[in-house]
Amino acid sequence: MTVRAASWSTQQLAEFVAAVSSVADADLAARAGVERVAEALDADAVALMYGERLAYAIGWPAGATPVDAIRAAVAADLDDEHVVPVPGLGYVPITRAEVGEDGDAYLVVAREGEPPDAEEKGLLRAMARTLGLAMHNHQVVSALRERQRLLEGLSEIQRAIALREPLHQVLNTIVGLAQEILGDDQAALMLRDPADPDSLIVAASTGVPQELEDRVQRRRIDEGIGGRAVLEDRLIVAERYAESSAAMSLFVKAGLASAMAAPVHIEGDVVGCLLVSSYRHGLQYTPADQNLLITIAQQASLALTDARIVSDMVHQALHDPLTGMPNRALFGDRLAHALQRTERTTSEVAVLFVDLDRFKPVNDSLGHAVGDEVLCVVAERISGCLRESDTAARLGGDEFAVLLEEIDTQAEATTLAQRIIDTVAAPIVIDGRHVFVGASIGIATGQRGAEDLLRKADLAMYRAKADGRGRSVLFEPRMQGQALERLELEIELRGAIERAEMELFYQPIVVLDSGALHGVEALLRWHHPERGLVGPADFIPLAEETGLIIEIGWWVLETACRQLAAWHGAGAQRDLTMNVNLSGRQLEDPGLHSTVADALSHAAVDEGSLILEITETVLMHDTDATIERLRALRALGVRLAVDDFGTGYSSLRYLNRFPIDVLKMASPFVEPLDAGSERRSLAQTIVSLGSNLGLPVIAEGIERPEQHAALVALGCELGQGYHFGRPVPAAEIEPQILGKRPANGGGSHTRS
Amino acid sequence: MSDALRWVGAGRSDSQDSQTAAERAVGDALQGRAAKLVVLFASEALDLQRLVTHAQRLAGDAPLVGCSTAGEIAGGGPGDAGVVALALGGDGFVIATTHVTGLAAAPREAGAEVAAALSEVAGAPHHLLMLLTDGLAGDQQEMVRGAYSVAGAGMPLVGGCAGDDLHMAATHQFFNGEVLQDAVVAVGIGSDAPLGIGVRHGWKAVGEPMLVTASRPNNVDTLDDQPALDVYLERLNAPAEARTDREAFIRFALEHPLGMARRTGEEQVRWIPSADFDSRSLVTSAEVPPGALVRLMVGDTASVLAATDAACADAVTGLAGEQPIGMLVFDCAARRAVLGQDGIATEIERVERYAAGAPLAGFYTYGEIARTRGVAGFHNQTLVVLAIA
Repeated sequence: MTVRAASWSTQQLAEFVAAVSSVADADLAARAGVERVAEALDADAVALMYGERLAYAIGWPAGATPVDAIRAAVAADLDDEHVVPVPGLGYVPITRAEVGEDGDAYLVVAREGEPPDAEEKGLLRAMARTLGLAMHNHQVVSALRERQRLLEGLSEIQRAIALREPLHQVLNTIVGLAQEILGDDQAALMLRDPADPDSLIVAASTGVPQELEDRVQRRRIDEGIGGRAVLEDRLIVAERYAESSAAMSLFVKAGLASAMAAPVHIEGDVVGCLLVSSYRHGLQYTPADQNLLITIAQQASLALTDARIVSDMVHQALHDPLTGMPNRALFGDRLAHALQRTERTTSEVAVLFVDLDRFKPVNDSLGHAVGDEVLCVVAERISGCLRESDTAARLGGDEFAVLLEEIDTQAEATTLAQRIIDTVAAPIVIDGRHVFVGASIGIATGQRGAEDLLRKADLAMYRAKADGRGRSVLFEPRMQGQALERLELEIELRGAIERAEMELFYQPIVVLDSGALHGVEALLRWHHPERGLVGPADFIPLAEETGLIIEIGWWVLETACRQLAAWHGAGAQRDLTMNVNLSGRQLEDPGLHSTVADALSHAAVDEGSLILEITETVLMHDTDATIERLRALRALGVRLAVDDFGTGYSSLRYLNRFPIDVLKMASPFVEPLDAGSERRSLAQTIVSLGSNLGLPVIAEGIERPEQHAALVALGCELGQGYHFGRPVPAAEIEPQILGKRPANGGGSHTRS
Repeated sequence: MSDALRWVGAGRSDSQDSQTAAERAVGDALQGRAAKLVVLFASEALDLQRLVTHAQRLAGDAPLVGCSTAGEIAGGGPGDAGVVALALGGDGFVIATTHVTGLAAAPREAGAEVAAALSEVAGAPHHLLMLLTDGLAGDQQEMVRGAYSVAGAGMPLVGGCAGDDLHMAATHQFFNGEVLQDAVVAVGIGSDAPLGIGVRHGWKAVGEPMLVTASRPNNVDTLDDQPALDVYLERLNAPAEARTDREAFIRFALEHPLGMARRTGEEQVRWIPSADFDSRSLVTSAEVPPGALVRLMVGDTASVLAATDAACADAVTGLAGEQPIGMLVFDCAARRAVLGQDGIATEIERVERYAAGAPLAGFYTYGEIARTRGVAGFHNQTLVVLAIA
């Protein structure tokens, strides 16, 4: 006699419901259901049968479930007693319960010893019914989810066609959808080459291993499942790829297990095929899967028909619509072929990765139409530098690539690169206006690996940019390491604010003749967990490049304003100012205005106490948009300072153009002030200029009392530097700000 | 020297030198005989790698399995910071061993994999799998389900989770010369004579049941929709230090497990090895599923010792009239807390009485495995006794 808590079966059912409904899909629900039934009823073995099919079983050794005996037990009369064999236990009596309401699914429970009593039978029936519902729900949900995804995918393609998105983009979307919906490893859309109808070219693909990609970019029409689909104009299904007469030995060797291809048409004519394939064995393409592929292939047909003429189509799929140059796909094809030809020779192939300098400001300030014209002129100029056998392509944006075949020395590539740099640098005249752009070029040479060569050239190009633009750089292996290091730093930088690794240091700005505190400049520091304290010079360029500067800049403004408010609240002088640096990239950000306005209002500080510093070099690349943004900032009530004033070559030009309130004299003018009067003239000029324009001047980098005295004598109003105080954390400068310690008029003379 | 068809030997050492400890414990268990299996249970206080290296040297070609403990058990009573060894040999035994690491990440797969590797012993007239696992690594019931799904109902499972003297930091498993973590070490034992298993705990449910409203494989997050840790501490009127200090909580929770109702009267006990004070959840060594009704469990010396008698009696009864020639004992570390030092001495005396002079070895565990009926083979706060005839 078993003794049980009164609530036993209710409790078991509650657990059971939670177990089968918390899993992700019907298969897991079946497994959880069978196991929980076994646990609840202390069963020796439990099986779930769907019709003739065993869905899941437990209690029999793996692979030894007696399916026939279980089937017989399910089919037998309800009243008869039935047994099934369980190894180690012999024949064990069973109890069964209907799962769901369709009458074809059963839970079969085998238990030695006491037969189940009325409560246990009731519990089993309830669990079986619950399991049926849960599995039905899972199946409905997953079917709905699939259908939903298909509908979304198809409408995505429709939208892309309707919006006349570039064909290669539409084709990529189609290929991606086919791979996703059918759950295959590879998908490709291949088109017959109008120039050579006996071959197929891959117009878009996904999931093809890189080592195979180069070799199957172009294939003969009489090989492969895809070729057969085109030649026979019908769906071809190969569930055992290796055994198919159309299999390509290359893919058989790579272990491809199954493939399926559907023809693609334009106005009734076969022009190519959509192909999916998988490396997983045992995959079967159900009639529903086959219909899906045909449906998606029809979408591809629509997209192609929409662009009307076949030759145009293929040309369009492989060329950049703006410049008419080959696009990335065709460049890859040509590069792969060039590498194949090189295999049998001692010569090499060179890839030049060309990126324009200063294109973005041109595009932003003069508009996209002018930008497009510039790109067309550059494309013509690059093409004009090449031999017949070379290929130039536009990879996208302001990126171009050049392929040089059969070169014997790297010097041939660097010579050509210099020619391209020189010709691109010549002024471009558009609507009577002179536009200047430049080119930075990375070069990689080799005999194999198309993608690899292009990537190496890209890395070298990056180095050329970093080295000062307008030059070419040959790839060196160490660049890969540097790129990785940069990537690492970028990843670390991304989380730096979240991990509270950023801190603002503050440096005092003093009134030179009285020594009184005037304000502070906020300076960013990064407490790197391994590198220690990192100064802005080491990470701001990276932050600018990656756009992280927007978030960092936002944090700096918010933090500085809150700090200023805190000091005001604690009794600091009302006219204490806070100087904050803005980077060039921040000035390009349309959200800058609201960022500043928000920071001011969040902290509730007086607009007049915030001074934003912009370096002179940034102002030199002036655009109408920059001036507009600066005006808008000034309209908020904040003041603008020119940082490093005097280091640019056109200092006076922009003083009229820009709304400026303060000049910060760069430290090179301060440095010689204690050396002798003859070298004071530059500093004198800047101070007088400020005075004539009514702009206060802050002298930077004052380190010695003699410099201090000389600046006072020149009539310079404000200054900062180690002589008055180094940048320090807020807590350290606080006593000085709150008047608890006098401003340091002649403190430490040493930098430590 | 024995030339019997089956023999079992045991030895122990309290030496703090790993080499001496290995030589004494394994040497006494072997007594110069060539074994088919050596089982070793040892405290984390010893240099385990050195211990296992020397033990394997003594075992020769025989496979060596074992794990770290929260106390060791042998004839003569329980001990701490020592080593016990059990060896078995003779033509009447068929032995297979294997191990899998990566238990925490995929407990079900680990269980399935070891069971699949040991299916050869199923051919012997009597057989079982012994599993020694890292109880701090993942849902152990899921591991047992995995083993059961491959081995089937005809293959009993016994064993226990390794301990680390209640530090709850890291436990170790031994396989031949290696010291592993996050592992299941498994032995398939086939025998010409019966193998008997007894499983009892002796705890009783008290108070009203509580509904598990949210849980994960190794955490109970809420009970009756309240943070589980708070409900637990309140219901038990826990002392102040257990509410803030993790060590104090571990000691307190040892004596206050949760119980889940099962078909037969005795609840399945779930031990609370620790708690997450930040998320206010209870940590468990096997899943307490959402939807389950749990009750607080209490035990006293009398009920826990009564369970000892019952488990031993069940194990010996399983031998179908034959005399035991050896015993393995997997005793929950939490039972020590209830019984106290005198109580556990009494408990082992009782076990020895059932062993009737046969060699005896075992350890205090972080979870016990015993599956003779159904799938539910993972226990806590329980005594598992394996009698070998």
